[in-house]
Amino acid sequence: MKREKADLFPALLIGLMANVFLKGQTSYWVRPGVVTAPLSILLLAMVAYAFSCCWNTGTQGFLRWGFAALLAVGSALELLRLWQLFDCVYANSVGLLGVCFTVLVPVIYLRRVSSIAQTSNVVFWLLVGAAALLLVSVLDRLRVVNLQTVPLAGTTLQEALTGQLTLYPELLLPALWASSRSKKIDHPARLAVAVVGLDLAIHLLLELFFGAAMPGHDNPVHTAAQTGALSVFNRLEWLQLVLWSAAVSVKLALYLYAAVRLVGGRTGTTENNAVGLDRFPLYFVVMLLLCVGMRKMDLGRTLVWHNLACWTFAGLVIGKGVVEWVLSKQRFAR
Amino acid sequence: MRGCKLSAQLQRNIKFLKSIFGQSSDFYTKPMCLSGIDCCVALFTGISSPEKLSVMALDSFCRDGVPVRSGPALAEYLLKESCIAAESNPITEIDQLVEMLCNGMAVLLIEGSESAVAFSTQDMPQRSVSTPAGEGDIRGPQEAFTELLRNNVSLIRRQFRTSTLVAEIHTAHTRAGTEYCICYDKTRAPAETVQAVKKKLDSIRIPLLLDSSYFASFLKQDKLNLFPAGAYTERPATACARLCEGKIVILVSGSPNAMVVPSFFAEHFESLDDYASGAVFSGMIRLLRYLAFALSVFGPGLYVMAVSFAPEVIPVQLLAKLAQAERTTPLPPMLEMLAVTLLLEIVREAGLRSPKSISHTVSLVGALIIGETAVSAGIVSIPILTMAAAATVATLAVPSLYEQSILFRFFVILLAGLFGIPGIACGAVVILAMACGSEPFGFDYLYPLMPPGRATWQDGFVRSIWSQLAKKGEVIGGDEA
Repeated sequence: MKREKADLFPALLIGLMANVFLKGQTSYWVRPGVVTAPLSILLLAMVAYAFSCCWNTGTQGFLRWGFAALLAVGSALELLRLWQLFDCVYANSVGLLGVCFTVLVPVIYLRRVSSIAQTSNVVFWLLVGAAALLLVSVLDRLRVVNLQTVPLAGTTLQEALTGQLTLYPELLLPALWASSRSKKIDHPARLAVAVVGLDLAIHLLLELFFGAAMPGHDNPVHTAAQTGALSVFNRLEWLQLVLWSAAVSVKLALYLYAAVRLVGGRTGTTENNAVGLDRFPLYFVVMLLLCVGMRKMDLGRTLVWHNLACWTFAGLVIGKGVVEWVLSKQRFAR
Repeated sequence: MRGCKLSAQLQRNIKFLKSIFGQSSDFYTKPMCLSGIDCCVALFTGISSPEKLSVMALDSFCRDGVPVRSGPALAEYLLKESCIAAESNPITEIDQLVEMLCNGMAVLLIEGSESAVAFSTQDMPQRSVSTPAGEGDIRGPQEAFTELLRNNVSLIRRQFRTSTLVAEIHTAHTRAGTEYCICYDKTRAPAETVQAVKKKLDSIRIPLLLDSSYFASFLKQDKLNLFPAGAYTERPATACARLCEGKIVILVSGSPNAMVVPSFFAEHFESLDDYASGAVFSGMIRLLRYLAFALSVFGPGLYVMAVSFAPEVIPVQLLAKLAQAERTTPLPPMLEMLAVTLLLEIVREAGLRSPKSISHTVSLVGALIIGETAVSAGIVSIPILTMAAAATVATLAVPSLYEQSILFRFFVILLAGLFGIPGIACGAVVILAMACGSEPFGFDYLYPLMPPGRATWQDGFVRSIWSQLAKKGEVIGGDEA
């Protein structure tokens, strides 16, 4: 009943869920995906853990600004992805400015850590409920015979591994929270299991639903939601869209909180008052400019580049940490 | 004036009192002589009774006499030896004297003594205890708080008959020096919460304090948050129930509404009747209240969204009827809904503020005649009117969240009309974030609804049977203890 420590794990989970739900979920078949899943989990967990260890050894300004820039670009990409989804479903009903406004306004109320934690808790349960509703509504269309028996060859395994090895910023963010220091390995491992497991579950659902036609769809989860015929209403897609939009708002609030921690500081006197109100005009302007600047870009390709940038950044931090560790050992030996 | 001592010269004290109260026609002084000692009685006639003073003290003086011959000895005699019911503490300072007089006491100033003696002769005009006007309950006690602070404290103490009830009276930092009382159960209320409330209230500086709700804004952590910082009740029974939960009740002199802190979201959906009715029925009613709140906030917005942006969510037959109705009206659905909702609010406000004798007429004219003619003239459509009226009625199912429901409703209609589904999502997340962001004195505002747990089903969305509830009485901070 009393709020002592805000747990941001549900917020991280929601961020991952939004990533998995909103990205193109048809990158690999389930059979090779199951085979590569343990390796993917291990790799992601190890990278996240190593990042967490190396980040805590002391980071310089440029790395902090680099991480903040990655988060800013990631936020803009989320907004653009949501805009494209809305544009695809309800063409010309809402513009980029409208999407930015509706997603960013709630962030004002999510400027405190406890607020992010509690809201993400509620949104998480609502998302679970909506996912269950989606599943029930399309249950009669799921066919086991749709599962593809693709050979476990090098190409298919590589495809699955590439699809699963996306280094989302959420996997790196626990390094920033002071509370996670005591359980470093715990958080990255749980997050890696969650992201790969969720990705695999979505692929399984889509394969059961679409069968061999799965790779041909741009928004497969959304297409599946559209076919849901539960209740007197014909479609449930609006409910899914509302919840995904809510998830993106929570995700962006988390990114903003992390970015403020990275680039300097909190305006509040306590840890809970993470983001001061005075920062929001600047935040809105930066987000709008980024979205306007990136809206003509090929989103799929930009996401790949963003993923590469995340890997490079993690590599840089880990490399720096290793070098520092070796140097300190040598100094100690002398 | 603060810290100034009373003079031993009676005339000087009287002169001083006349200099500050002399222009007031209700200020009364009566010089007299008791056993050869010059004295003076001072009081305010409207709030203190000279008759009571006569019965309490003056009759006794005349009948039995006073066995002393000096001013200080008379004060000492009245305070310590006499059986006359004077206040036990002497008045030695000017501001103390002024405070006592303003509180309705009669004060006896004595020549040669630097102490004055106060008599509790208050006789204030007051409203008798009546039934609550704004909190409808069928069962349970039917008495309500009044405007008199001491009466309200006694109403609580009469129902909460334990030695653990603490009622601390303080004076607020206002121009009028209004008193307020902090009531809590010392064994149940978390000590740090009590201290935080006391500290917060003591730090408040406002010119006027007419109701406990004036404190609410100061107790809010996030000023942008629209959810209330405290819950209000006019029932001593509800206040006692909250005291049992370890909460703190704040009473303000002159106000019949008590504020309860910390307050949680779920409290707005509870009523005394819930606990008097059967568990199954009260559970259903409670769920209906949540549904009513959701309808009052999101109903009109969802309608506007569905009609303007996502007609596929409406069944075809209903859609045809809605389209037919909308075709005849000149305004787009969002403006139509806003106009109707505004009109309903104006009718409500007019009915509330107008004299009682014509308020029914105002409501009738507003609701029936304007509504009927607007539909007949094709200015608004029937579905819009139906939805707006349903939302307005639903708001009344949770009266304590009335302000929030209205504000949220307008916000959601605007967003839904401008942006469609993202607008609804924005409205939902903003409201959710406000509720989740509220942290009254460090407690979860959404407790026990979120995070879901045993308490959610014990006394949250529904309530379990009394034998289950009685096993573990709900006390805030109980889990930490």
